[in-house]
Amino acid sequence: MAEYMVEVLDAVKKFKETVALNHVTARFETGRIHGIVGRNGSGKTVLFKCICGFMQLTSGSILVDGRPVKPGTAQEIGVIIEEPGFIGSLSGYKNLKLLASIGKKISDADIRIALERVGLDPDLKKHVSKYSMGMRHRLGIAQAIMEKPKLLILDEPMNGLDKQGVAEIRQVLKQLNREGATIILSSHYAEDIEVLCDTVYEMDAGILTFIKR
Amino acid sequence: MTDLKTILLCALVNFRKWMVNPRIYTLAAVTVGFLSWHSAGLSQLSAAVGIDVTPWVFPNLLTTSAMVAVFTCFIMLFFCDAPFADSHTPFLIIRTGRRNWMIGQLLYIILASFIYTVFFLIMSVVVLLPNVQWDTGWGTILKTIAANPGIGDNYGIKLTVFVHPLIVDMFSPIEATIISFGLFWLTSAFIGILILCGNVITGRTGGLVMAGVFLCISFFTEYLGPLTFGGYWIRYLSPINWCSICCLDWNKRGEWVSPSYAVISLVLAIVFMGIVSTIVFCNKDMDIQKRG
Repeated sequence: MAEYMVEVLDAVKKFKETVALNHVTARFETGRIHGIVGRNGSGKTVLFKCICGFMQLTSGSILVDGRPVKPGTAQEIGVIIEEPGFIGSLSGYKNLKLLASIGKKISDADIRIALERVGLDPDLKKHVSKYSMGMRHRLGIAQAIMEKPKLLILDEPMNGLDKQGVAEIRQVLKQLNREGATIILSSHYAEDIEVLCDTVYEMDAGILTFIKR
Repeated sequence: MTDLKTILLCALVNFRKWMVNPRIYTLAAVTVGFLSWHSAGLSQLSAAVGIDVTPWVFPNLLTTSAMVAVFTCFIMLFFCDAPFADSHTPFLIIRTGRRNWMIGQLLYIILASFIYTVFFLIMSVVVLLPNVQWDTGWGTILKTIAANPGIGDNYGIKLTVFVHPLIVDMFSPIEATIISFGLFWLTSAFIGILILCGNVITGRTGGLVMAGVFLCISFFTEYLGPLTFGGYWIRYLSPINWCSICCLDWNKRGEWVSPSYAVISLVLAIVFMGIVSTIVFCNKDMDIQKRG
């Protein structure tokens, strides 16, 4: 495994005249939890999308586990970016089962464990269209963690969760980190960053600054 | 790597979303409403003369440009949001890769077009109930309308379904239905993939605009095209018209597009636009709509 799970090297992303990422360079160590803080529109989500291959850099490069990100290919990354969406006519369990059937890496029991870890009942028959915002976010986290990826990219994972939910998810993320996962997350909650993160960066107007270890 | 099972799964996911998509219910309702209105004259004529209609109305539903335009609008409504990316899509694409996912969307359009064609065919019979006579022939009503399109006037009934005499003479009802089914399906898939291709390339609703342009061309082709250009060659540039069995050159007089030209052109266009969509989608930023 590479020393750095994610390496962002002189990354520039422009949308016409707007510079979303302005020569960003950062190396995210393997096996740690990295936090990125910053206002809305500062470029955090764009950086996450580029790491996942949903967006292409204007220049520069990104390596995940030592390999360059190719926009068209599947990746072993657990991801939540923006508001998580699911098939509304299926239960949470069936939604995850459908996603898990693509990679075929995990069993039904693993899906149940992932749901229980985020505080959702695997046997709940309710359709996702009737889930509350908090339940949808928990389900989003469950889909990100269920296949035990080496890298988790979580954009505002605590959005829509109540206090208890936030505490539970923090525990889950810590546990996953102890099991070896590298986590890069953004959050509006200063406490998330304080409690969870080993290293903290700040994104402002597309410029990423290292704040603390 | 391209994986057939993954591609199929990406296509099937879209069908799973139908249950919570109000547009699908709207399309079904509007289609049934349109067919009811369109076939009302046939039912009334059947009741007036006391003879039931045979169920072979489907090949004669798109015999006028106005009806072709309505059909095109239905398909545009069906596929207007191609490539069907919503907030669920990143979870799929991170696992499937973009190419598999996009090929899945192309497959979805082809399968969904087939299902819509089946629905259209079945509903064209259902709306005639109970005035339907199960027979393998064209039947008295359809043959009479083919010979005398103004027959409805004798009973004070306005007929909007026109039965083409050439079709009745040349084909058995089953043959005409199979050919019409194929053309309807192929043209629906063409419009769907045209919308997908245009939307992917422009990142917005360019495909919908392109479909609208083709709709205008189909109208122009039938009404002003031959007069403006002094020939029928403009019909070779209007693929939407080829959805109707009546708009093809079955007796080789050269006024219409030959069936083989129509089928080959539609298939080639579908393949070409599918390849372009996939290449473009794999090489540009993903545009995710906040819904779903």
